[in-house]
Amino acid sequence: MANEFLADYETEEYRGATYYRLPRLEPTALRDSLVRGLDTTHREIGVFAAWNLPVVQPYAVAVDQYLVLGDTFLQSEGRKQQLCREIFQDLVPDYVFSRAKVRAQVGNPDTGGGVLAACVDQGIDSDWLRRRFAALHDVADPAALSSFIRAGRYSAAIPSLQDRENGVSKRS
Amino acid sequence: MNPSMVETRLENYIRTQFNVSPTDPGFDREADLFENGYVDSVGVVELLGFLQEEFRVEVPDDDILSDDFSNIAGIGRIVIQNLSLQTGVPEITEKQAPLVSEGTVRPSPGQHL
Repeated sequence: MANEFLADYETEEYRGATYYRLPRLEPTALRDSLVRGLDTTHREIGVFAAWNLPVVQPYAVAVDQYLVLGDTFLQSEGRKQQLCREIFQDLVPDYVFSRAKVRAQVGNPDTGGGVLAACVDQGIDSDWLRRRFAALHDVADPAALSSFIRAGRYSAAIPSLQDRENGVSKRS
Repeated sequence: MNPSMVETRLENYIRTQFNVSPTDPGFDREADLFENGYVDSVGVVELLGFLQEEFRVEVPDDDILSDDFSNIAGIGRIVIQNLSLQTGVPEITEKQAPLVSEGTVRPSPGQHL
């Protein structure tokens, strides 16, 4: 969550293609869109909840404080380290702050790896994921996916697998 | 603020931000921005940021997902409507503006046309 609240994301290049493109917005607006993405994907909680694992996001208690951080701070280099230093002082050793950020999607910059490369190398790109998502949810036309979600807002819920088993084809 | 002004500013923004060719015969204010590939999923977020910054208007989720929110004319209508709702200032339509004359019923503040 700190990545979203501090707008600490970059695009990634792999095999000549650009991934994780970010909207061209002022830092605070970008931060807001990234935070909204947390709600949309439910990825910080939902994945664990599906396995009955309760999750506590400690950053959540400081949401209001994060949201008052302005454009100047959000576009400063090392903002995350600076903020952590303010909070934790010397309780966190220097090497934690000095090491390069490693995204799970990309893996180690020297040795490679990561989810992005693994998927791309297997032909699993955004179009593949859309087709797979459509197939799993009985959406006949993958293009229809663009009409029910825009900018992180859903127009309707895709029926869950449980709904499908119970004969519910669509809910609004 | 009238619909034509909103549409003009929207069109200028979209042409510039999303590199629409000035000679593109398929691009006009009724063209579907998404189905025709002028604006992609990341671009929608940028477009919403522009509406917020330029017109100081928050577009509700229902409007973002409406059919109107697919072309410049429709987005212009949404902006005007929400400007009226959020600021209390009555919207002015192109048709009504020049026709206001003695005896014409004018909207009271906060009344939506």
